[in-house]
Amino acid sequence: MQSPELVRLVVAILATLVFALGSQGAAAAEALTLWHSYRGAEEQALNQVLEDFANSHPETPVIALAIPYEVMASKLTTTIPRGNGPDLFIFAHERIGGWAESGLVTALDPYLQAGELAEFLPQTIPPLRFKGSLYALPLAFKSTALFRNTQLVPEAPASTDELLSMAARLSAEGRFGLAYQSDSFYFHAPWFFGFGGALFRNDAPIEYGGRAFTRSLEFVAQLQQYKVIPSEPTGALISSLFNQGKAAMVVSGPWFLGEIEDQVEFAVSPLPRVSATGLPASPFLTDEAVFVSAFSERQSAAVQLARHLTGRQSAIVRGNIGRQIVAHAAAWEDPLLRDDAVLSAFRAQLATTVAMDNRPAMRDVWEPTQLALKKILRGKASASEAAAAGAARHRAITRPLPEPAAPQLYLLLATLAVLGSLGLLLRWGAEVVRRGETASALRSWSWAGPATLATAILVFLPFAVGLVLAFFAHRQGDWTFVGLANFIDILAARSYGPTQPMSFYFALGVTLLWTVLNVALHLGIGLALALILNRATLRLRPIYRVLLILPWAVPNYITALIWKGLFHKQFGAINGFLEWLGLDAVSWFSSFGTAFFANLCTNVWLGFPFMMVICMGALQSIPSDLYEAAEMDGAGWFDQLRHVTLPLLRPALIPAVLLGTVWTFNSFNIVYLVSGGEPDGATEILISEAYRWAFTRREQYGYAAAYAVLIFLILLGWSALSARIARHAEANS
Amino acid sequence: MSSVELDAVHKSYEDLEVVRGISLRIEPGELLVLVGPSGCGKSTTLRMIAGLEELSAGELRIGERRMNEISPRDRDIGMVFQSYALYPHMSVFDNIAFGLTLRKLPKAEIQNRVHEVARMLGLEQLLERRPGKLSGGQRQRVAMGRAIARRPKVFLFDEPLSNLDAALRVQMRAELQALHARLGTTMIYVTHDQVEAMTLADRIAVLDQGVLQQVGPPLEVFERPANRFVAGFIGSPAMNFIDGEIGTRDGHAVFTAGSGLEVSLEHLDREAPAAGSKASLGLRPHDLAAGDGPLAGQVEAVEAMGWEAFAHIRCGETLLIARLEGADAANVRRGTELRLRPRLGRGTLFASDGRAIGHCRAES
Amino acid sequence: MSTLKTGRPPSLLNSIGSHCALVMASAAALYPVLWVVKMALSPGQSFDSSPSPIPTAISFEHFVAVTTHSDGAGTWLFGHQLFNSLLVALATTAVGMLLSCTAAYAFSRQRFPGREAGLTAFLLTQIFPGVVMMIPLYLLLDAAGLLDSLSGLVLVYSTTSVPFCTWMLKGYFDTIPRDLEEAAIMDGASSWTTFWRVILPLARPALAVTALFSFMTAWNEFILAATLMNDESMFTLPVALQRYVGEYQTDWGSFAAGALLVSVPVMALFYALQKHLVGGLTAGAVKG
Repeated sequence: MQSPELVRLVVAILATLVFALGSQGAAAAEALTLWHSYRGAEEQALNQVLEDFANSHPETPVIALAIPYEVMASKLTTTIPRGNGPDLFIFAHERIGGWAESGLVTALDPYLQAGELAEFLPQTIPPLRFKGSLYALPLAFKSTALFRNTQLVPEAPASTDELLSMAARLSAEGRFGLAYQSDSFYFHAPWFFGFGGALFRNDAPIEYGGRAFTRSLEFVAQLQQYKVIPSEPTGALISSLFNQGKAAMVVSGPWFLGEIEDQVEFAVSPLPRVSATGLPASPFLTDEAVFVSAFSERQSAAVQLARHLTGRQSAIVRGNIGRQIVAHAAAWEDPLLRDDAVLSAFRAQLATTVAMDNRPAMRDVWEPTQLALKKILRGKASASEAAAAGAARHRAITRPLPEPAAPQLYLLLATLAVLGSLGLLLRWGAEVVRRGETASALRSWSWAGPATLATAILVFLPFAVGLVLAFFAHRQGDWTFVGLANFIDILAARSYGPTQPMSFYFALGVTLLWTVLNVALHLGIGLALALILNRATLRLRPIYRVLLILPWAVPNYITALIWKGLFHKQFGAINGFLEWLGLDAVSWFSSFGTAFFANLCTNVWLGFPFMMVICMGALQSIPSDLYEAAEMDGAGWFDQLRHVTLPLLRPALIPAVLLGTVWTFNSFNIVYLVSGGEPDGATEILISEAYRWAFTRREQYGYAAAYAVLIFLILLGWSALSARIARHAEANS
Repeated sequence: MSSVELDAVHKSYEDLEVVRGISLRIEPGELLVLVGPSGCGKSTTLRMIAGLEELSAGELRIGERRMNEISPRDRDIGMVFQSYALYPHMSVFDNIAFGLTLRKLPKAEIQNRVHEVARMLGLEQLLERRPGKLSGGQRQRVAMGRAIARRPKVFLFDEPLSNLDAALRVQMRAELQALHARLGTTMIYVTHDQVEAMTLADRIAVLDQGVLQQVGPPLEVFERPANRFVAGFIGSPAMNFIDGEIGTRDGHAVFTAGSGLEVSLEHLDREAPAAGSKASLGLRPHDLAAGDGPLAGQVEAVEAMGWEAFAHIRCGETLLIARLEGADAANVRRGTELRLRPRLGRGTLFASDGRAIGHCRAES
Repeated sequence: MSTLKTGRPPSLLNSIGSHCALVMASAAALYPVLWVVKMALSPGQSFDSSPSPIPTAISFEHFVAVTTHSDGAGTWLFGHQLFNSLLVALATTAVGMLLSCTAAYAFSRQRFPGREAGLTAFLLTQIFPGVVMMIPLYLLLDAAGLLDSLSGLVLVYSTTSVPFCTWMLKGYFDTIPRDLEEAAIMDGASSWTTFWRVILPLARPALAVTALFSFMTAWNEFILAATLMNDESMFTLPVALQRYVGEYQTDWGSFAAGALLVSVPVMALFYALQKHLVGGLTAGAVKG
């Protein structure tokens, strides 16, 4: 290609990019933006309601954007303060506290008329209040209720005893009387409240040591003992079981309706009463509400839209088409909603719900309770032990905010460091000029410069900023300078002893084991296969080679999810295979060894082709006369491998192994997606632990950054050491 | 056709001085061979002329114009590399045409020139092939063709024949000579092979350790080496050196060595040094003949070449190589005793510092 | 592909052993993929846990569902996302290759002040834990007004792949004989011409492999894409795909179908480039 052609190519690429960039800037500035995460019927209903609004309010165009639920919250907290966020958004109410405190959402009281709130079902309003102000209007509410296969369970159980006996009767090999996501506190909550539990009796969202929690755990232990509920109950498993008639009853919410296949006859009813206490099993109540951004420039128009969305007419549409359990009281007078058995059942459940607390601290409940529940479900801990483990985890993740530190000393050090490096840079520049190398330097840097500059800005700068964050603590959008406190907390193993999961040292140990085993297996398998593939007389080589490279071509998050599926206790092929061999199914993620093994299998599978290809390339560069010479010297196959192949492969393998080590050390994807740290965070490696601190556990970015700094230092030390060893080995050979 | 002139040219890398002040003028149309052992700085010198290396000091002129700061592509020089450096991804035609296309010559002109060169070098049938599909000799021709097609003022050859087998080398040498005769362009040719140097050169420049040892027509360098290094380097097998001292007999200066050897220096073209001074005598293998002489020793090895043979004879400390002819060649055996006599009036006398004192040339 | 050991045929036993090992390894490599195929082709959400990789019933409903996926306003999301993915991956490859080829050429061929530091810095990036970089990157792109834009993604992806690509290309360039370059200089070529017409054509295997890696980086990435993109029609395929098995929804059939659709182009590229893969990764000498 001639240079003009290259220029044309570059221009074409740039033009495409500019076009792609420009096309988004074209959105009408006048319109209100509404973010939601509705899909399917709910989205259809919303669009219809918005169409009505467009007809009645042509002066206020609306742009609705569907944002995935998983990322909505984090997007809101990042975009709204920068003015990129929506004017309104639809979300669950549980984050109101945090949003109100950090000023993302606006209080609606000034915009409301007297008595306006009376239009809504009374239980739906309190969750939307925080410190006395109302921050959203309720669209719909969600809670769990009891789904039952009416062929198996004609009448809903009225009490847990009844539920238990019914379920026990309906359970058999591969069949379950009851199925629900028993490892999640959201689904467990009905039992907790039914045993007299309450939220926020003190600072913690629940009392881990309290009687209610212990008794509710005992109840689950009972369900588990009688094999009434499936272990490892994922959403997919539950819907699959229910659809196949293998789960008689299911505790789930309105979203489950979309999962049920047409042929299944089912009914929904409120949850039963807890026999031991006589109290109703009360699920969490979540409001789905529409919020107005505090940064919106058109708040009154936004409120108008919110009012329209929540109003009676809209509610009927949303209930009827979107199958929502709407919050507007008068809408329920409409026969379309009133006579709908399913909707009415959820409406009836409302009476015995407990509203999800909207304080930020509420979010601390999930991880510890899940830990406790999983311990129970594995059948290896008593209720009180599990509760104690939960309490300990709660203490660990709600670690007190470190004391603010005086930044002067650090600032001084940082300034000195910056000045020092600037000085070195200048001296270097002067040296270059002195030696008269300016011209050659400029010429070469015009080649290497663009890549270096891009890397500096988009890799080094973010990393440097990330490093600085390690000296701060983050809560609710506030950054406090805490000096070395994060590092001290990590290294002192405050919350968990050094030998317990979740401590830095334990995770480090796991990471080292993980790295060593992975790299050794990648290399061993890769080398063995390459040696076989390299035999001169091998037939079918191209076919083998294609098949063996295949794992490399599969995107690794897909690989991770596939293998997670393969290791699933109930419908994983690996257990299927074990059963086919007449062995017992293994609950892979319930003990450290098996969970680690599952991670290892996945990573070995996806990583060996790389090493195989490297080995194949390196093998081909060994001149064949060396083997002939070795053979003449009487060297057998093994001697040739030891004295010819391996020493000559070394130069090619050392860099590959070094890179492989670093990549494996930081291979967050696999651990996060396959075992997810199960059991109890034991298989977590350093990088996935850091990820958890950064993006769950109340976004303690500073703490996560400190983890990352430690990871970086470890790898830096390792690289320096291995480079030295490699040089040494090279010098000796 | 241009002259090339090196004026006190130095080249050093860091602390290592590779070329130490070479001054040399190559006349227009001349074929100069730079010869020397590996590491003597000959390739570096050539690369400085090409512009692939910068001069550390001194001046380079081509056609009387200073070239130190001129980039290689503006020096109008063609170069043939030891490895040929043919572009593996281009056909023979494209390889030859590459430099022409870069100079934006019209298409027709390029066609003409490439075909002309191909005809000259017998490459017409190969123009569509890739270098990978050519034999060594063919690649060599393509490499030359590439340099020729541009019609540069000066050609540089960097050990171009060293990758060829012996027979091909002889053939290519002849072709190169013919080419030089035909083109008449200034050529500078680097080799470590003194046979190549002898057969090709108009003049030879012998280099050692970055210093120019001697420049001159091949025969002159062969006959009158300037020092022991040149004497030992040029000629195959190498010259024999016998250490001894100057004496007198019958009023004439003679060279005497321990074994009773006495060689008259009456044909020495210079005045002999004072009697008693140390010297060594250089005798080429063909200056030694079998026969009744003072040099005697055991034959350690014999290189039989048919009607001539080179015998390696251990004479005390020194190993002498003698060229034997005819019956002598046929009869010599390893392990036997052989007596040698120097041919009358041959040899070069060297001072103890290696400088040549004078040459004995008795015309016979 | 050249082979190494002597041409003597191995014993029958030996050969059977080799094939056994290869068949087992190939089966292990293939099995999970077949399982995805089975999931994708099985109708509804009905899995059976039998280890057989052959589906009991075949239906293309998941493929249909995934490829026709649209939002409420009727925007054909799959089409948009496929286009986005392709555009981002191709542009990333182009920009990344342009940056890394030129840098690798300088690092391989020229000696200049700052060269060692630059190379070390590039190597250093490989040990950066990505977790801490996400938030600063977000802020950076926000400041540049590149959030929710494909250009932002292209910029980030191509840059993050630059250090590795540069090192790999440099390794390959190092093996190209310097003579060729000098010959080009003597022929009158500028450094750009030498690079473009001599070095690059000779580095084709390495270019192919590096381009493949760049492409894969962009084609497979979803964490950053999910963070930087808001509008569903601006998503790349992996982001959309990952949502099928998100926390709040599990549709393994659609996930499997989507996974196949996403993987197939990469597999095809691997297949097409496999003969370069071996040589391109472990730079063998170029023979003239």
